[in-house]
Amino acid sequence: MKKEVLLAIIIGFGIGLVATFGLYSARKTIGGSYQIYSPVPEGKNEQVANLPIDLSLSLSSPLDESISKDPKTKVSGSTSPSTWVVIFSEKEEKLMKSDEKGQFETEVALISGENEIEVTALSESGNTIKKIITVVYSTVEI
Amino acid sequence: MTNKNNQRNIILTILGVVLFCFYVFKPISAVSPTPAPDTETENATSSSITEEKIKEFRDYAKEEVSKIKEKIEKRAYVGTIIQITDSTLTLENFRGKRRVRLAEETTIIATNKKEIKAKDLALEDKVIAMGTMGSNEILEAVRVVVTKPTVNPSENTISLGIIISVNAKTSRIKFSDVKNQTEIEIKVEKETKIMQYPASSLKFSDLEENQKIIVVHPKAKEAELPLAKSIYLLP
Repeated sequence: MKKEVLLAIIIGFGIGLVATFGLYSARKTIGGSYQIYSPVPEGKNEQVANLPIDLSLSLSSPLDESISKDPKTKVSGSTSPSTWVVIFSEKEEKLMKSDEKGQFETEVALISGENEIEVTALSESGNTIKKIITVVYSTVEI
Repeated sequence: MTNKNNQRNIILTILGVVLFCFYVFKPISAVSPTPAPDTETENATSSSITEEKIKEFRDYAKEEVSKIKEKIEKRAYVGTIIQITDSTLTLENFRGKRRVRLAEETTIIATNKKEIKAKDLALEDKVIAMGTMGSNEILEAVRVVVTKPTVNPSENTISLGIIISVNAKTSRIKFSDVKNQTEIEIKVEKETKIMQYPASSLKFSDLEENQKIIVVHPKAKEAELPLAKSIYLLP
């Protein structure tokens, strides 16, 4: 009798262990599928500090040779941090300073038809870099 | 009878051990800073909110992508016609050459705003061609507008400097150019815009020695004094 009871205890203990392990594994697998990964890697902004300090200029808006249906357009881009930026459009002239990350953004009015927008970055040492983009303002559906 | 009792005892013992194992080895959830919802109802609500947000974000992304796509696909070439073939125009501008394909449906507008035919276009005409970007950077024109040739304005020069002297009698200022370490004399007229950065308007009399300025002026002809278009007084 004692032998049979002991055997039963061992078998029962084994079955219990197997079942518990199975449940634990299943739960872990299901739980893992709900994990959301961030599309933006952490610490990416820190790279800004490693940018070269030479004068640079890139425009993100508007696209060169693009069509605008609005009588004004956003002019934005990046240059070296705290750099003077002069923007000439057909209608106006603007002076602004890029922020500590080198970003700048403003809005300029457009005239009907061809608009040449000239953006010049000017460093404290007097160096300049210039870019020209063309935007056509037209309300006609293309 | 004793055998049956023995068997029953064994089964009960096994069941007891199995239940004990389940209790003892039950997986323990880690403590989360965000409390997990307890009931199924809460789970369902949370799930529907997440789905709604995902849908909202997806719609927004779709809209933005289509806007960008439209901006990229719909383009305008501006330039002077340097070649005309059966259905293709070659334009030239400061970027280089641009090709435009004309279709039967392409609307062509003359400088007098009247509609004309493709055969009416001539070499040296300045046109704005608007359409959709096709393969090999050829613009499939929907509308071509002939414009009056523009006289290229003289190139602007932008200088950063420090005022050396201000002459109210001659309306001239002399400043040292930071870049070239040279002295530049410039003429100021009524049309010259004088501003204190960022916005306030100034007069010529507000300009003084040792002030830091940005001067915008068109490139002057040789032996001519440059005329200031704008003077920005910097902080």
